[in-house]
Amino acid sequence: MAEDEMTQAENEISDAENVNEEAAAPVDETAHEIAHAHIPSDTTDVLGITLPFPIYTAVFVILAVLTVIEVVVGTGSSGAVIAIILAAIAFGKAYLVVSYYMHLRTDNRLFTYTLVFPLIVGILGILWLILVAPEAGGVE
Amino acid sequence: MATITAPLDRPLEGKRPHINEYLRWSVDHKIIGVQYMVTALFFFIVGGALAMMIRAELLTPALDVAASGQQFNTIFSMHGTIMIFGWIIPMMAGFGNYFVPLQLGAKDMAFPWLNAFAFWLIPPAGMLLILSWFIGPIEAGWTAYPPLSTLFSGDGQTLAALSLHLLGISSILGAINFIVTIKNMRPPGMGYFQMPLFTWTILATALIIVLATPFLAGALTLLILDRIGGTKFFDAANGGDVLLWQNVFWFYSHPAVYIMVLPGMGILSEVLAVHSRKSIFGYKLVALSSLGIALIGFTVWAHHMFTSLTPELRIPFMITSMIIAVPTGIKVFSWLATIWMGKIRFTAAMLFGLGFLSMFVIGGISGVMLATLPFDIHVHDTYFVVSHLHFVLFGGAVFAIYAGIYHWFPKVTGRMLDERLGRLHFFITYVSFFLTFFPMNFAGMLGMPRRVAVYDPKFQTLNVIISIAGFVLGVSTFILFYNMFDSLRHGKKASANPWRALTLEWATSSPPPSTNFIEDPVPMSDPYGYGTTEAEAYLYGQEQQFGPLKPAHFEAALLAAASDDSDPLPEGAGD
Amino acid sequence: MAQLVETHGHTHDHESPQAKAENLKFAMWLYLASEVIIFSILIAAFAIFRVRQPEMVDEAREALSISFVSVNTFVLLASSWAMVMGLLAIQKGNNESMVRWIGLTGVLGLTFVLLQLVEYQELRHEGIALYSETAGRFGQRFYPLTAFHGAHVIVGVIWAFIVMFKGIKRQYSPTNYIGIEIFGLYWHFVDVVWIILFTMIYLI
Repeated sequence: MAEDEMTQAENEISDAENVNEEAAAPVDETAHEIAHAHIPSDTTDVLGITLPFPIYTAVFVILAVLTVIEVVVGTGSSGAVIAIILAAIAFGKAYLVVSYYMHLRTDNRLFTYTLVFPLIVGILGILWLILVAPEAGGVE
Repeated sequence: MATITAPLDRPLEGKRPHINEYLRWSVDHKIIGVQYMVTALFFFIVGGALAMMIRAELLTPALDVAASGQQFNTIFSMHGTIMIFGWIIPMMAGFGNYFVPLQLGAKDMAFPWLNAFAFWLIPPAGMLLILSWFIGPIEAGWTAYPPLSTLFSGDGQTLAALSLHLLGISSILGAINFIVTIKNMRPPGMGYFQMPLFTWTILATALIIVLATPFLAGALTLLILDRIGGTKFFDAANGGDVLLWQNVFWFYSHPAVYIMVLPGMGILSEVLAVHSRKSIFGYKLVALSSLGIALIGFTVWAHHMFTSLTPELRIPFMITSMIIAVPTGIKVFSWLATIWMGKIRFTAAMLFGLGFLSMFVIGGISGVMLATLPFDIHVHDTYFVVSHLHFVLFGGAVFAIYAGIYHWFPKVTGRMLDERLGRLHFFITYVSFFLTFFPMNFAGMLGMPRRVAVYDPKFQTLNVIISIAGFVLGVSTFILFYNMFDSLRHGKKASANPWRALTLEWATSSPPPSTNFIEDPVPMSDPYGYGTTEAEAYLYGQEQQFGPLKPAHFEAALLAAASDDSDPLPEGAGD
Repeated sequence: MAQLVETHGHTHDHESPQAKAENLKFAMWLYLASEVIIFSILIAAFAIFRVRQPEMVDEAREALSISFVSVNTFVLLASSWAMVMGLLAIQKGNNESMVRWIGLTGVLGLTFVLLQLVEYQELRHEGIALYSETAGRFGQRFYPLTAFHGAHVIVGVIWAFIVMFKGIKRQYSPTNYIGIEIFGLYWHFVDVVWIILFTMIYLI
């Protein structure tokens, strides 16, 4: 549920970003040099409404909201489903930071691979270590 | 090949940097490369001395040379750790530092300051490692398995772990530098598939280092915490798990085997092609097989743990371990096809190249034998394993380093090594190496365990043979050291390109000027296109620029070789 | 756009600021790649424990204050936001604004570290030490992981203040802000790690 919310928000943001990209089209030579940095504009368009702050602030608000949702979902209840939802939200937040704050959406694709490949290696490593770990922890 | 044709007023001659340049902070990759190599050679002597002590102890079945079993444990632990982390890995990093920018026609690495920083982590790390000898025994072998390393070893183990931490940071920083350099600093006209194969293997190695070394760092952090923080990560009696260490350690250390061997394979590709005047057979496959080895290397770690792993998990690792022989096999067959029908010059570099080829194949085959589960369980922890790893690391990596030294010494110093001494060095090393490590196979099959000072007297004959050959092997190393010291002053002057090679490190004076190249070099479209008219024109142009390709005695035969219609250089004609 | 790509593609000058910036960013990503691996080992050490001995974690969680840590998480998220706003400011040429934002980043990072120390203090009072027989083995999985992250935050705070002082000396400009961008990559990565750690240690 929370995840859906997130992806929805995300799509809107990416739409907004596309618009901004055109708005920030380079005009002179110096702008040419740095244009690949994709400087977002000072406003964010969400659902047709223009909000008076940049996309980064919008992402921050979403991150904060997701954190609140996480805490609400996570405290008190537990179980496999809850754990999966929480993990999904956490990865969603990480995705937002990585793609917007660390600019992976617009930067060199190679950087994405540089992050994703070790991530796969690391996650497989963690899963393996959990798999082979002994059931009970020795002498209590 | 436009740039080479314009002759300059005077031949470009770089001057050898003053010795003080090597003793202080320098951001020149050539200085740093030599700093790496000299540091590594120092550790080679230390590790070698320890090996001699091991062999002296094993001359008799009783405990005599070492004061106690603990001391013997310390000796072989230090031997392994120093040889791997102090000798082979820094030596390969040294070759990489010196030759990768040159082969790319670049002025320096992408981050010269970082490069120097990475090197200067090594001396303190080495000091910590050697200091650990005096602080308290490291008794767990280079693998540092707990509980040996947590409950039974002295404080030296903590120091060694800290030292490995530093060395790990050093190699990660170095590897990042290599990757960025290779990706972004290639000259126009050099795509990935026009890169020299040595640079390719350094790229693959650097990728492994970035991904695998942090595993060791993580494991060492937990180990240090267990040793000084009072935690119980690896203490099975208190909820810990010794297999956690074994798994994470081999996550790193199996790929680390390729960190040590891959650059050697790269050196071999260079040496075999240049000294047999032939193009590399199947260049693309050789290049890609390096990446293949890097990738598959991450999936085989558990074959080191066949005896400690849950039985049902063994078979998959047996299969992956055998699969990794495929890219290695591609390389071996490519090398064979490369020298096939070539105009082979039996220079010392070439001899060591062939030595690598023959010995590494033996090591590879015993590796596949060990990957076979039923056999592995039989010879697990015996001298068979010791034999295998020395065939791979000495017969592989170290022979490649020797080949690299003979091949590139003229470039680094501007002087040729004495070929006759080089050949002597080769023959003694080759024979004594084989007699040292091959009989270990028999000892292992008969059941002699590794890492023991006291053994069953029935193994004594074998051990005496091994020890005597081992001593000869140890002494033979000094032929190389003598050769290097002597040639520095009295060696024949080397020209820019004494071997008439086509890769870019030879397209500048020997030693190269501090900016590496006076004008931007233009790479050959095929770095191994020996015998083609394009290559001939290229070498001719180089001669116009740098003067005749000294030393003179090579000249006639080599010119003939390049013009593709004469006999190979007869053995001995070089002197 | 097409023209841009073209000029970029034809640049072979390794010395150009653009090429150097690209090199630095790639190097930073490679460094972060190795950080991913080292964190994954420490995370694994915790995750094994969570999966194999869940009752011990549940027990220890009673001592942890979720609301306190949530505030701290919010602080770190805010510092990440301040960081990226600082980058935006310098891209738009507003140096003063950039200095303020980066300064805020550093202050928020510092707050995070101090609050974490307060949390450690609380836990110590609850009897959760790095290792103790009685309080179970939560401490040895918890402290190294969070402290290793905390060390990264401390490095980041120092770096933030360095960037701030360089900003005061006007060493950055709309065409030269790679130093800030590199720091940003590091800082956001530390933030991402905390996002994962927070959920894993305190919630799941």
